[in-house]
Amino acid sequence: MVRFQEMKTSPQPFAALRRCKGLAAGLVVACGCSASGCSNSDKAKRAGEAGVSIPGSNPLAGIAVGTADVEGAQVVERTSQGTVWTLRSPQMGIEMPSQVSTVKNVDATLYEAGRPSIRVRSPEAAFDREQGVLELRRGVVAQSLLYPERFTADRIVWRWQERNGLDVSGHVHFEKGATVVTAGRLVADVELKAARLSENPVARVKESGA
Amino acid sequence: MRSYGAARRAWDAGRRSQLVIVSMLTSAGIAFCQAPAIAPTGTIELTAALIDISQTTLVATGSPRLTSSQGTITAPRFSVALDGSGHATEAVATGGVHFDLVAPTGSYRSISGVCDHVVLYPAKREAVLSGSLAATFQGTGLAPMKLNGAGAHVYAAIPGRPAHIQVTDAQGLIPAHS
Repeated sequence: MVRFQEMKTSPQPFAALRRCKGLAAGLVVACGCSASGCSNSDKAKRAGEAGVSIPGSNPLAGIAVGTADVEGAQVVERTSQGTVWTLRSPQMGIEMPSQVSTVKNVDATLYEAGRPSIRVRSPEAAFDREQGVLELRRGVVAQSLLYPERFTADRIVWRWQERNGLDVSGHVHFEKGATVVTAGRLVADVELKAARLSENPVARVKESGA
Repeated sequence: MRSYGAARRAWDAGRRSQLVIVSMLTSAGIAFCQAPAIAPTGTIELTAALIDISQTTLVATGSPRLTSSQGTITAPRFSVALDGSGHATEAVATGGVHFDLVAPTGSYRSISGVCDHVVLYPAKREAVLSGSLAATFQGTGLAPMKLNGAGAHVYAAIPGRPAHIQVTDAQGLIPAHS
């Protein structure tokens, strides 16, 4: 199901998007839909005019000022350094051009230096592209894609434009193989290569050979 | 460094108070005696204000406390070496260590005191206490004993190895009330 009112009614559906600073910076919303009238080349051309990039084989399903509901969609944040993060959701509702957009049932991948570094699933995500803030909330499950580290928590805030690490809070349960640390807060790099736990941290370490 | 005579007197005192000294006291001041198994087994629990984890190390600072089935150690800083699967291979307590440990075996059921530095080797079930060691041994039906030294190597009770403690440069093994 694709609802894309602007595309149907406006001869230049992306003209309005030029007013959306976030979109002009390179936001991609894409899905695998094959809805009639979804001409990929036309959309790509028009998207390019609006400063919206489209991944190679993924047709553009819909971007609209107001609300766009897309099934099976992916949001990709890119900079000149490469991909920063992607959000995938079976059903996505993005409010534009409001500064903060929310997405439900998110399967996110965060990148470090263009390399996929951590996968996070959460019931809800919010991103502010202008401020460069991505928040995953209402319970997160995160797994490093480079190391065995993983964690669950209530919330992750990532200020990617400031090149900050992940700021994780609420019922943090961090695992590194046989080592488990619970805490109120975790600050870590995106790869989870190094982590600092505070707010009553308790580490339980199984002994080698135990 | 203690004299042989002093060592002998300590030996005798130990026997009178039913402390089981399994080996010997040497003129070099090295004492071997039966001791609680203090190297922890199973799981180490660490509480602290801050815990930093890198790929190979877990560091606890800010009034950290290590607890295991064998007791408790407090020190300003703990560093735990982790292997690739996150198991502890070595735990080091530094900066003035207080230990209060219990033993599942041995004549004395607890050993408590202070020293400068403790290294636990979980896989080997051993611990090395170094620096200025002042320890008190306590056992059911046994008189508490004090022991001072420059350090100790504590061997836990594992199959094929008797539980004992080797105290380096032991300066006395005396009744705690004296």
